[in-house]
Amino acid sequence: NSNINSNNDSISNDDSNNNNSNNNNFLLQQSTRCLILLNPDFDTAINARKKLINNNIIDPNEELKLLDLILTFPKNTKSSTVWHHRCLILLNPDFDTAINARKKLINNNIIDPNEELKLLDLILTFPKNTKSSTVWHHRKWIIQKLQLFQFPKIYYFNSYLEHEINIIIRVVKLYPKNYYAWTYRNWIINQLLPINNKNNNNNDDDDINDKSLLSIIESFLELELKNMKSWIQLNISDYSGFHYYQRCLLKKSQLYNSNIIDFYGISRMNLNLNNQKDDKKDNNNDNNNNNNLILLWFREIQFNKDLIIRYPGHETLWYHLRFLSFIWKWL
Amino acid sequence: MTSIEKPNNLLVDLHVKYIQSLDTKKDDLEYWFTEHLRLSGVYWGLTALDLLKNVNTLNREDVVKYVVSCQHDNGGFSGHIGHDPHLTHTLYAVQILVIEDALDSVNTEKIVEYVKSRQDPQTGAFTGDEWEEIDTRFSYCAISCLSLLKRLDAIDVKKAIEFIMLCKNFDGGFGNTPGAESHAGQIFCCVGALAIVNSLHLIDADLLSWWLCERQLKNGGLNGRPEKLEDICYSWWVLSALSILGRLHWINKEKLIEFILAAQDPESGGFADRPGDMVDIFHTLFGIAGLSLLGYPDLKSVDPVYCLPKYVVQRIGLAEKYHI
Amino acid sequence: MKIYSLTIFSTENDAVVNLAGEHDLSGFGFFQRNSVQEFLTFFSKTVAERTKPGQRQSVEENNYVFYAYSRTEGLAGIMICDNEYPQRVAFSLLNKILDEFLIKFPRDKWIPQSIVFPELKNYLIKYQDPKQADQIVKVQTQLDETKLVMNKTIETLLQRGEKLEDLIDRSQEISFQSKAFYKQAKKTN
Ligand SMILES: CC(C)=CCC/C(C)=C/CC/C(C)=C/CC/C(C)=C/COP(=O)(O)OP(=O)(O)O
Repeated sequence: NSNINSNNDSISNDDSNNNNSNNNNFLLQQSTRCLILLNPDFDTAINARKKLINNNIIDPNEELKLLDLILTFPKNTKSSTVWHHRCLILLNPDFDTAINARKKLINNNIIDPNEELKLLDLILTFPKNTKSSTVWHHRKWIIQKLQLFQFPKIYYFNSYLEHEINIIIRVVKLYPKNYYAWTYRNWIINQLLPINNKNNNNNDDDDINDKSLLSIIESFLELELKNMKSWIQLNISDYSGFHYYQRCLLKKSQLYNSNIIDFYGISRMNLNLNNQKDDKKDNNNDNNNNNNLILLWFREIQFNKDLIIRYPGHETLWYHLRFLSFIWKWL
Repeated sequence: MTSIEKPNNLLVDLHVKYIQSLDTKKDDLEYWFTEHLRLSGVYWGLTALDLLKNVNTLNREDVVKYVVSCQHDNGGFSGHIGHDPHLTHTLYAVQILVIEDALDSVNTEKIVEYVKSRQDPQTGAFTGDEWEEIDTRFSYCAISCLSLLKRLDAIDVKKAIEFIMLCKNFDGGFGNTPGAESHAGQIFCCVGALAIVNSLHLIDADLLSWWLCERQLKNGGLNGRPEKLEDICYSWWVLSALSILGRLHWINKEKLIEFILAAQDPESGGFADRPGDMVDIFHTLFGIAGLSLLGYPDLKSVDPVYCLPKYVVQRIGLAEKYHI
Repeated sequence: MKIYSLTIFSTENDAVVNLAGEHDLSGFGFFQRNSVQEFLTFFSKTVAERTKPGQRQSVEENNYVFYAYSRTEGLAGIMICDNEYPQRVAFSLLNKILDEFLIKFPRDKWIPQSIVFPELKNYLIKYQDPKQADQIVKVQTQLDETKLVMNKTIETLLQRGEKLEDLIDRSQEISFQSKAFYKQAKKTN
């Protein structure tokens, strides 16, 4: 044990031009290779290899191949160390390069993007990895590539949507207040909602498509609102979750009143401008929608007030109230 | 751990030694910093040393040679030799070269080309690399980098500002993409970028500064968003933004200084993310830079927009151009 | 908001013995669960050992809060939550559980491994949402007469010269792997 450790330390100390050290590194590389083939739970050997990867002595892509080999032994598939190592190779921020290489392999049809998504599911079971923007972007990139959330696939791949949400739910349990996971969830809902800008397809029953698409989206949004409402009650200090809930509320309001075009980049100044509601067609439908809108936000304020009383001393709840009263003023 | 006295003054010599100790072999910069801290590590270490009035601790030629070796054909820089180029590393490379006054040792026109190619003409956003991750971090990197090269004319500045403003939230803060939660790190990037392109008037300065000063916790430290833990690096992200907005006095400076100093390792130097944890070079820079913004004695002043020593920014004629 | 575990110990004759316990580790990575469970059990026992009969105590450790209630009847309940969970509800629940346990199991039935107390699991599930507790909180009055001690860390519970790391190192209930895991884990954001 200590033997390997000291070898290990010498990796970074030795000059790379030094033959002796090159030899040592070579020996270390070979011996650890044998060791982990025999027993992948031998942490020290795996760690030594991580160091060699870090120092560009082992090519991470080669290491992945070795791991593939190791994983052909049934016994080894149960080893957490192996899987962990595999994930680390991919996800050490240093190995953006490795992730980029995998993107290239996907582009060249060598890696199946669906399989890559499964690997990412696994990768995201390690709390540390869930904080990497690169990992989430990789996922986004694959999904865009597969066009899972795009018209018309969205009809047939509804289960993908569910899968993505489930991954996020698991991740935010693993790592609360997770910035990238929530931003990713927001990205998904944004993929669904720009229904106004139709994809200029020359489809005859465009109108029908629009209607059923809209209903898919509406029911998804309803579900999100419902689930998030119970989620935030049990995570009253997770402002990231509250922020996402706010985005859902805004999306819902948009469905009632298209005047609420978008709240990106809102500032006090342009809010006042927006407030001068231009078309005052006083038809019933508009009235109904406006009532619904006011009711929606009124209920939220009541709900938030109850939480503040029940769970005193949480900054998040007050920040949320700040948001609610901001919108309330706007209505 | 708790029994050891927390340091209450700046351990300059120890920090210099600590940064030096990361240099395992002086004439071989490849191994200059351990593991994942490479080009970025050189930037953090060099800037920290300069603020500590010890810039010469590192051999200028070695530093420049290493940086040059990280440039790619397309003009961008990677985090280490043999890795893929990226906008953040490209900024770090330019920052290092500006400190060393060695911009002439690389092909700057190629850098400009690279940065320019990272802008999406439609939205004005910047992507980190060819795989197109979008983030206001990259908007900052592009704008800061081109400003240091005096070539802001190469990109569509107006569009770039438009994208940043899309990332603004009702609380006055900014997120990494449109609709994303406000985060102090992203706020630094957006405020810094807007300062460079003379657009601070687009910010609700009072509203944002209020949010920023609410980051201070009872123990004096700052966090990056509501109900998260304090971290030394926010002594930079939060303070620099407050400083650019002219509202540094909105926080309790004494308590923050005390908190930053307590995060030093009294035995071997360096700063940790918070008192009692392991030190690293990233937090070491931001601890020192934070203290510099707070006017701590014995340190050179730091520029809140470029995160470079002020004299360096002045030397290239850029300082104090931004005003709220 | 999260309850991670509920454990009941007998505390007679200075020996703290685990009688019943339930965990909810769904929030942890699959590979961490074993280690986490070992540590939660170990810390629960350590806290139980250091809570005097008739005392209520809370201990904060990293992002966890331990609530301890030791009864003069020789029984102690330990509840581990995150720091969002309301303290008031935690102590009420402990009290309720210990009451029910005492009714169901007279002292001569306190034989470890032989106790079947499924109520514990039900409470662990039901009380994940503290709203559930509102009814019982109203009837709790005698509880408030017990003295409450609030501790910042587990270390403050230890005796002079005692060190947490030594306790962990010496513990036979914690595997080698978990010990290594603990050394790496620290308070994170
Ligand atoms: C030249 C300088 C100083 C910077 C270059 C530009 C860059 C890369 C800026 C980075 C800004 C930054 C820190 C952005 C934050 C990214 C983010 C959203 C992190 C998520 O935060 P967590 O890791 O969850 O940490 P907290 O828990 O403290 O929020």
